[in-house]
Amino acid sequence: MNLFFKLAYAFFKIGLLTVGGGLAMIPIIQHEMVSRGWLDNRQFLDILGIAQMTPGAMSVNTATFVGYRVIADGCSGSLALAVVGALVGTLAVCAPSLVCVNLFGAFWNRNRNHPCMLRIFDVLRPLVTGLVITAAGLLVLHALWGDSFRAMTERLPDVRMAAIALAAFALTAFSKVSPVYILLGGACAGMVLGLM
Amino acid sequence: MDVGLTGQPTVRLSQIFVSFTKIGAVLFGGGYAMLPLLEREVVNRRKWCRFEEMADYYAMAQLVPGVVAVNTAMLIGHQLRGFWGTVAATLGVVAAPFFVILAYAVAFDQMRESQLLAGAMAGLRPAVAGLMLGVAYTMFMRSRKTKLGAGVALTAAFLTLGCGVSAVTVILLGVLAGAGWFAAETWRRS
Repeated sequence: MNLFFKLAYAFFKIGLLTVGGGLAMIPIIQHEMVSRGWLDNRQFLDILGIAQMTPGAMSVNTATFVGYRVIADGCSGSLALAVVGALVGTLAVCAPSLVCVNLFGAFWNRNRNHPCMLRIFDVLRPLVTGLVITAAGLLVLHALWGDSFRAMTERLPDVRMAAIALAAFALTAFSKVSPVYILLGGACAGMVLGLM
Repeated sequence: MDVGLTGQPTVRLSQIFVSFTKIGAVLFGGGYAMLPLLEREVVNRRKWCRFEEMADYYAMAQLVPGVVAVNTAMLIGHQLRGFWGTVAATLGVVAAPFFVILAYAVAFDQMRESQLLAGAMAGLRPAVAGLMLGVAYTMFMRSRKTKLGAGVALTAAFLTLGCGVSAVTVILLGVLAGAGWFAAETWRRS
C-alpha cells in the first residue's frame, strides 16, 4: 500500500510542478525517478523513446509505464497489482490539472468577453502559430537529421524519410486528407521500406 | 448537471469520451501534434468550437500546470459540460495510450525485437514532422491576413526557435502585451 501512495505522490508532484509540458517535464521526471531508485538513467532514456513512439503524451506514458514496473518489481510480479499501479500513476499525473482547469475554466467562463481578455487573445492566437512553426521546425530537424543543427549543413537526409515528410506536408497543407490516414500511411511506408 | 455553456444543445459525456479517445489513439509527437487532430474531430466534425477558440484553449493549456495535451482536452471538456466534461475528456485522451503502454510493459522484450514495429515507428517520425509542417503552413497563412498576426507569429517563432525562449515565457509575454494593449486603448479613450 505504501508503494502505491509513494507512486501517487511522485506523479502528482510531477503533474503539479510542470508548466508548459513536453521537454520542460523531462528533467523533473528524470530526477524523481532516478532519486527514488525506480529507474536508472539508461532505463529512463529507453522509456522516453517508447513514450515518443507510442500514442499519447510523453509524461502520461512514462507514468503508466513506471507505475506498472514499480509495482511489478515491488509486489513480486503480481500482474493485477501492477495494472493498478499503472492506473494510479496515470491518474495521479493528471489529477493536479483537473483541479486547476476547473478553477481556471470557471474564471474563463465568467470573463471571456471582457475587453481585456479579447485583446489578450488577439495576441495569443497568432502567437500559437509561431509556437507551432517552432515545433514543426524541431520535429523536422529531429526526424531527418537527428538532434543537431550542425548535421543539417553537413549531410542530406535519408531520401525515404524526406519523401514521407514531404508527402505528409503536401497532404496536410493542400488537401483535406485526415491526419489519421497520413500517420497510418507513414507507418505503412516505414514497414514497406524497411526503415529503422 | 451543467447545461451547455455555449447555448448549444448539451453534449453527452459519452460523446466527449469517445471523441477524445479517438484523438488520444493517434496522438503521436506530443502536444503540438494534437492541433490537426482536434481541428478534424472537435472543430470540423462535432462543431464544438471554432478553430480560433481551439487555439485559445491550446495557449491556456500551456499556462495551467500539467500535461499540455491533457489540459487542452480538459479545457474543451469543461467548456462543454463543466466538471464532468473535464473528467470525460481526460479519461478519453489517456485511454488508448494507457492500454498500448500496458501491452508494451507486459511484452517488453518481444516487442523490442520486432523489425516490422521498428519500421512502422521509423516511418511515423517523418510523417508526424511533415504533418506538423503542414499545420504550421496553414496556420501561418491564416495569421498572415493581418499585419499584427504575421508579426506576432514570426516574433514568437524567432524567440522560441532562434533564442531558445520557452513557450510558457513567450505566452506570458503575449498575455502582458495584450493587457498592455487594452490599457493603452482605455487610457487613450479617457
